[in-house]
Amino acid sequence: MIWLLACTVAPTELVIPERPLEPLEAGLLLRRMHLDLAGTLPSLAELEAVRSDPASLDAQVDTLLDSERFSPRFQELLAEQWLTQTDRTNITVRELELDLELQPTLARSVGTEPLALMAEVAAQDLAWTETVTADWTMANSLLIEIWPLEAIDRESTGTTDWVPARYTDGRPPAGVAATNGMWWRYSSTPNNYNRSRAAALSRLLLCEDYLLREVSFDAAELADLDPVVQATQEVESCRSCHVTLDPIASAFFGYWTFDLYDPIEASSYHPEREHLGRHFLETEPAWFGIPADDPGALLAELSADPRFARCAVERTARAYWRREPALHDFETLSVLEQGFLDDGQSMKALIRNVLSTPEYRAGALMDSATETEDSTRTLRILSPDQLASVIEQRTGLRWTRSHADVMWNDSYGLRTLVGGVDGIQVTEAQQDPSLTGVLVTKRLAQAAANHVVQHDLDNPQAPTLLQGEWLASGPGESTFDQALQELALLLWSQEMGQESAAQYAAFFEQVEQASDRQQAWTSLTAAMIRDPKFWSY
Amino acid sequence: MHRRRFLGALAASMGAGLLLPLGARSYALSGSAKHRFLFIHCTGGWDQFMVFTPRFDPGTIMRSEQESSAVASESRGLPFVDHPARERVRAFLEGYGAQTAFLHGMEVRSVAHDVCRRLLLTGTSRPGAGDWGSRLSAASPVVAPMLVLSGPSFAGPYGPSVVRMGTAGQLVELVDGSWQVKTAPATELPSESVQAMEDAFALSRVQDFQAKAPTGQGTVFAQDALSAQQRVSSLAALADLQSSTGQFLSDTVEQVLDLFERDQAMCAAVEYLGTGDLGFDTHAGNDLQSVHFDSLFGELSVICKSLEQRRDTNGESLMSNTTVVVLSEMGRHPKMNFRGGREHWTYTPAMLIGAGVAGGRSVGSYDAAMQGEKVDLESGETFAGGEALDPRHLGATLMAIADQDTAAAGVPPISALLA
Ligand code: HEC
Repeated sequence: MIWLLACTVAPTELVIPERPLEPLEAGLLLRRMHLDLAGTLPSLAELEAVRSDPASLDAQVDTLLDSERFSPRFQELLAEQWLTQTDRTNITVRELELDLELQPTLARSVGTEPLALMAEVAAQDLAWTETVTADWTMANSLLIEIWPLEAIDRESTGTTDWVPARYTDGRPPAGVAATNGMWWRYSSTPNNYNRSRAAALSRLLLCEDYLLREVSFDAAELADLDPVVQATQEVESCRSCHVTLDPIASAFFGYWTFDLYDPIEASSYHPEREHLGRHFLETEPAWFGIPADDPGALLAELSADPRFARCAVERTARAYWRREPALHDFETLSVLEQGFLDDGQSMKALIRNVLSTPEYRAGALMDSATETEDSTRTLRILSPDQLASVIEQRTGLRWTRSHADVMWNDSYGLRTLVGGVDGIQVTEAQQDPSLTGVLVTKRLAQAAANHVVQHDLDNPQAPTLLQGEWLASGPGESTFDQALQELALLLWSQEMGQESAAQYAAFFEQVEQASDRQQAWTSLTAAMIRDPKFWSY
Repeated sequence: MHRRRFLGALAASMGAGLLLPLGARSYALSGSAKHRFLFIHCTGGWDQFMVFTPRFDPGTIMRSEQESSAVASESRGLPFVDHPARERVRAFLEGYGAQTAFLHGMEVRSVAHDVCRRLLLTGTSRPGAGDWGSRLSAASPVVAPMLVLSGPSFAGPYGPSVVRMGTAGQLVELVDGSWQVKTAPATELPSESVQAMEDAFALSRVQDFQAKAPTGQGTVFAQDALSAQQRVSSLAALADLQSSTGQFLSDTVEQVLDLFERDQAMCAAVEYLGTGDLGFDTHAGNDLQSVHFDSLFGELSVICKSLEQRRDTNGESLMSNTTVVVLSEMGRHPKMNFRGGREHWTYTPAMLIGAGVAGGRSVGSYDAAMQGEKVDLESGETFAGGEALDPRHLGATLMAIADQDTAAAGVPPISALLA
């Protein structure tokens, strides 16, 4: 079987290598695509459409890529790799003299800025190079209040509070590398001299991790080393990294601060410090030998580096395959990379192609599968963000505590307990079920079911999930049987088998006897949310 | 795209034995932990010259004025740095030096905190591996095989055995249900009997799911889902835990020891940030480390005393089956910088205390440039034909202490450290 991909935007036909993988059934594949592209579940009509005509899946993908939910969901995927959404940065509400209650909102907003910029580039279908060359960013009202930013009049996909904006402090345009959100997360101590920032850029944008290179210092050379500075350019064992790292670091002195905790220092660009790199690092700003005076010039060079597009492909594959690319993916990634370049670095086209790979669509292994396929994720787990958006979609519950979404933070919330990253201590999203994840899902299911059943009883004219006549029914009635099937389609995107339906009905009766019908509906709804058919995909 | 790059990346991920064969995991549901581990992580990168490494080589190692009163000393066979401002270090070593071993010169091969933490705790810089605690406890039948109270944690593929406390003790509120009224909207929980019905039914659903699991990773996924679901109600045993935030290290550890005593945890991880929670990352004002070390050792004395006094369910002293592993992700540069701080250093010591440890032993050493020297793993002697120590040797040693197969670590254990 050959996988032929027809893109609607750029009609490049890619021939993706085949793999001994069985694709998911159309309805479940639509569910996977919905969750990945929008963080929501398909409607009954959408489900019906692809089940009767599986070929319409591609059109569904296009609809999802153009939906309002695409941008926020894409940000969530980026966040897992960029690790910018941390609970704390050096500057907090205290330093900014803001209401203490705003800390979670501040942290989330700061960490979201670079992600929102990248998601906007994707959603607007601009060339991906725009993410590192844009002279604009995305900001919400809080960021506009605390940073030298002004909203700009540009068409935007932003549905929430986020709008296109521009820094007014004269910083050279450099896309994400000119966002405070990026540099607050990847900050540099005064005598780190932006090296951590240069390393972050290389890791995130080129997939070249200096720190994964083995460091082995040569003893003889180190004997009389000044620990802080310039030896990096003289000593051979230091040069291997620093000869390219330091010139990149040198270009970022406009962001270098004397005081990490001074909000004014850390919020503004300082053009008058641009030359300091030459002084402290004793090296001219440059991109692998090509002189680049400021971050703008440097990022322009970076965007033309072939590793940039390649890295975007690798990271996108990783995001949707839910695993690290490996050696056996070489062929597939090369085809995707060629397609990405042919399509003018359109992220949407790339995503469309990644979603067409057998690796993405896999629901089981074929008999001919080898050990290579053992790494293929035939089942995925809902991330904290997906859990939050799906629960909101189906039950109307947005779980918050201390004014912050519990799935968005760890200080008050449950993000790492459910398998998410905190960006500092926990830097890898959990891909398999965990003990605390199952516990949180239990409490969330109880809260969501409670909420939606009460709401739907109170609002029979406009129920969120459960229709009035369902709530009046019980086992043995045809309305009840029908309700179970419809709920299964709404929550699991698949029917409930006969046997399962009988078990759910028996459970309902058991609870009803111990309590009442409302509790029975609540427990049933909670059980369907706790069912792995809900939280896996 | 270059094939070579992929090869490079792949090679880096091999050797650490983290490729877990499908279906290789099984989780027993009851039984007892034979050996326990407490990990104390001193976040920020500790200064090896404050306690562990009595080296004052003029020209190579620069000291602050305060440290001019430091002297090389020895207690219970352990060479250490003695200083009048750190009396509790000496006190600890006098009390427990015979059960304590120092490991010197472990190379972490990075200068970034997050990479070093990953390297130190998993043995590899590649993502995806579980840390030593989660690996050691993966097959443990207890309630909380690996309890993470605070600090860095890499669950890798061992999610079903890793229990995270949450930075503000969220776990306990979820367990006892009080979480439900602290959220907005607040919701009521059903009666106990209905909750029991819900739990039993949820379990039957996961069993059903697991029976029909797809091939590939899905098989492991469904097995993990089942293990987690089977274990979740037993978490009620953790209902008295309190968040470690704002607590003394020893108070936090007392809670862990309660669980060890009741056989409800096998490994636990706690972060130690020192006095005032200021951490060990002293790029300026390195003397702060002195204060941190003094209180760390004071806390360790309290912890060891408690380990001696407590008995597990078999009536055995916890000291006889618990190993305390004290770590920091990196060491500090031999020279001070102009801010009176020290930069990062890619060699770091570790301290092992308690069961299974050859006490009073100091293994590993540094050369004139403060680089770790090769060691003969059997004798623990510095030996040019020996092995350069890295975190995998630590991992293998812990596996050996736990009487587990050390092959997965990819290198042999340091048998000189084994009792
Ligand atoms: C394998 C690549 C590599 C080698 C080799 C290397 N470095 Fe670095 N170095 C880095 C990276 C990457 C950073 C930035 C790390 C960060 O802060 O995230 C860095 C940061 C630094 C810093 C700032 C440290 C701080 O505490 O903020 C100094 C000083 C430094 N290196 C000195 C040296 C010296 C001296 C040598 C040779 C003995 C050397 N490096 C060899 C990659 C390397």
